Amino acid sequence: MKPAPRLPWLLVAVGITWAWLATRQQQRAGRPLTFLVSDVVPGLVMIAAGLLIRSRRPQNRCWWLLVAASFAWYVGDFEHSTNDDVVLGAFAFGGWYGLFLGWAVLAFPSGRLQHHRDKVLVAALFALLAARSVSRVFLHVRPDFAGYGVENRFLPISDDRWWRMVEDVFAWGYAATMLGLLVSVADRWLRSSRPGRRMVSPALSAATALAAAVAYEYAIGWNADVPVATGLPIYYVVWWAYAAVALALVIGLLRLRGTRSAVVDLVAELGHDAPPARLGDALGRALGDASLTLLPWSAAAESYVDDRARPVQLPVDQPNRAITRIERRGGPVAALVHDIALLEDPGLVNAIVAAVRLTVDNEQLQAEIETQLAEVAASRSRIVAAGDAERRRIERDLHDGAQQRLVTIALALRLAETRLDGDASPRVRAVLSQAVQDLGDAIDELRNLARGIHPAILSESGLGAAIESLVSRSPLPVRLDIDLADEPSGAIAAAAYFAVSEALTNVVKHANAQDVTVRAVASDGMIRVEVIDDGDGGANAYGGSGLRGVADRVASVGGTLRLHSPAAGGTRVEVELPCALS
Amino acid sequence: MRVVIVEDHALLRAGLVELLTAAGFDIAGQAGDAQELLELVRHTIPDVVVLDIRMPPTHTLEGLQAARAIRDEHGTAIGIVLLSQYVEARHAVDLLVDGAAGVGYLLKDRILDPAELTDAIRRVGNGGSAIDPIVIEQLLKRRQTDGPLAALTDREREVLFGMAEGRSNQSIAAKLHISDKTVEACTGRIFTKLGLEPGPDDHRRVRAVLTHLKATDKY
Repeated sequence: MKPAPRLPWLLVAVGITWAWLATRQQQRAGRPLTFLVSDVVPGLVMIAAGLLIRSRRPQNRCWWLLVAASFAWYVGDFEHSTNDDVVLGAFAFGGWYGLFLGWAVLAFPSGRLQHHRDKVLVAALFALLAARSVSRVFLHVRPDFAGYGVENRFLPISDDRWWRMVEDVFAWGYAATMLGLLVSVADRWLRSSRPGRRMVSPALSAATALAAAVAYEYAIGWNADVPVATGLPIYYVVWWAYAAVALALVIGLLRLRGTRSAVVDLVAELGHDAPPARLGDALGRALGDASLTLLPWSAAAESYVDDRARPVQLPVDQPNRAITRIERRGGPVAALVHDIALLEDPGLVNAIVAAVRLTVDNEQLQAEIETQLAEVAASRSRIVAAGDAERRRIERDLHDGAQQRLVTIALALRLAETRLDGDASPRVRAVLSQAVQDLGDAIDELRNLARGIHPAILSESGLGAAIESLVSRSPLPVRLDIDLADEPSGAIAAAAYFAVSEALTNVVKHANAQDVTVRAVASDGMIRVEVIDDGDGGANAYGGSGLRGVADRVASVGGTLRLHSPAAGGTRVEVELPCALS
Repeated sequence: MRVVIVEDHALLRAGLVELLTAAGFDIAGQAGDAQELLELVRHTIPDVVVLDIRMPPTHTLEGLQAARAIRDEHGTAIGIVLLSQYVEARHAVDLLVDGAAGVGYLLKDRILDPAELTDAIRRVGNGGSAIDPIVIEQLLKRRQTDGPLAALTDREREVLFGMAEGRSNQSIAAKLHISDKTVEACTGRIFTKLGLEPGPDDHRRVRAVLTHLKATDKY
């Protein structure tokens, strides 16, 4: 929720006008400058504090309590108005700022009254102030100019006993309530552990200031006969104490914000790879709660687990401990066991929950993706391996089946030819001879086909021999540089071989190269295979060439294929492979 | 000349037997795989064993291993002709590492040219060698641009090719339709240009030439 941007400026304008009007009343009464300053400043501090809180924590209710206190602050000043109605209103409704300040102190820091007793206290403050206001309107007997009581303005009452009684009850009740407020906050402070105290202590300072101010105000009392000369300085202190209440609250909230931003910084610092145990420790440090424990949810164990992945029961009903369950899409992510005081600031808890959810979530997603990637990589390797096995089988079938049979048939024809022994016509001989020759061509083609499918020499003598064989069959002269101390096996050798094969085919078909170099070097557990030509360049790895398939095959064994082929000329295909499958 | 034939494909084996018998060879024995071969060779002591490289059980290089075992047991007294569905220079070089005497390495298709095949078997049986032209082609092809081979004339290269195959001067002369004298002159020049010791034995020439080719394998 974004705060309305114009509202604060409107409030500032109205507040300053209001303060100025109030000060005019006191000025008219001939108050000294110190009085005027001590009177006007606390109200301004309250409105400033309220607006500051609003700008930082728009959802926090404390801001409007402080603004309301500020407006209520100046109401009493209008007792010096020349208008009787205004005077009566000021007299009746002065002092309501106490309700708003007390409420703000009790609601600190969340802006909500958490405890039942605090609601009772606020209700009591409201009831006392309301009773006094009603009594001042309907029971107060206005003195005449001679100082004698005449009659209430609305009711025919000339006896001021009732009004005085209410005023006395109010003074005691009000002071007692403020004391109760101090006790409530102090109790909260005492029950809190370190992080909790850090949050409650601004409220405690504010409550102390408020209770002290009220005690002074009513112990000495407007109505007591204190000479103005000694009385005013005391009131100055009291008023500044009210200003201190507002200040304590705003400072406290800003400090809390510091804690929250510590949580945010923490998340940023943890990055993507924080194990939950480390996250828990770091959160504990950031919040000053060493006993904070983060228990991640294990889907496998269907339970929360500790940092050694052992299932644990959540510690329910422990004094001063609270459990915050962190969930994502209805499923548990983790549980946070922490000081109950953290609940005083739901915003802080939300920040922590978001931080933990983000981190744990992220980690789970990453683990899932890694598992899936590993599965995909493994299945790709299996597919390539299965393809290779199939290629070997087909190659063997061609050599030992079809090719063998063709040779047998050709030999039979040749034998038939010799058995004819000059019996047959030359035409029959020519036919037989031609058939044998055609069969020879077919066998040749079959042999080349089998080699293309899977070169037998690769499994028989290894990558180096296979590349040598490949190069020796190339129509182009090729420089060969082979240094394979660690001969790779199986899928890796096949990947390297087919890379060279494809690259050489491309050079012959497209490059117009004069100089071609094939290099295969093994070192440090890696095999580097390069095919370099000085041809046309501008080759495209994926432009319909078989290089795409080669790149996939290379990737399937954890290798990389790079193609450098500037339009200016020259092409280099570089393949890097691990010597052994991991 | 007594020959043992080892070939897992029965029809092909029968064909080979018929072909070689017709060509005047004495078939001392036949086998369908490498397992029984050593016993058979020990028993018959043939002049030449003709065997397929790929045989059961794995259909890879069983024949090559069997050939080594025979060589270990009988030395060069028994010639070995390896037939293969495909030939690789690497295998030829491996095969000839202990000498080219009594060694043949041919593409299986060569049996379709009975004259060439019987000539090769006879060479091997007489302690010579027979290397498939494809192997020589592979070895020579990569050295045409630079190195000492570049200094050879076309004729000399053709003669070198024949020498590497294991052919005698007469055989080379017949193949190239030139006179024995020309071949002899060529071989002399080739040995000088490549810096090789001239040798009278055909099989030693083969080895010298192949070793030279292999040694200049790296630039």
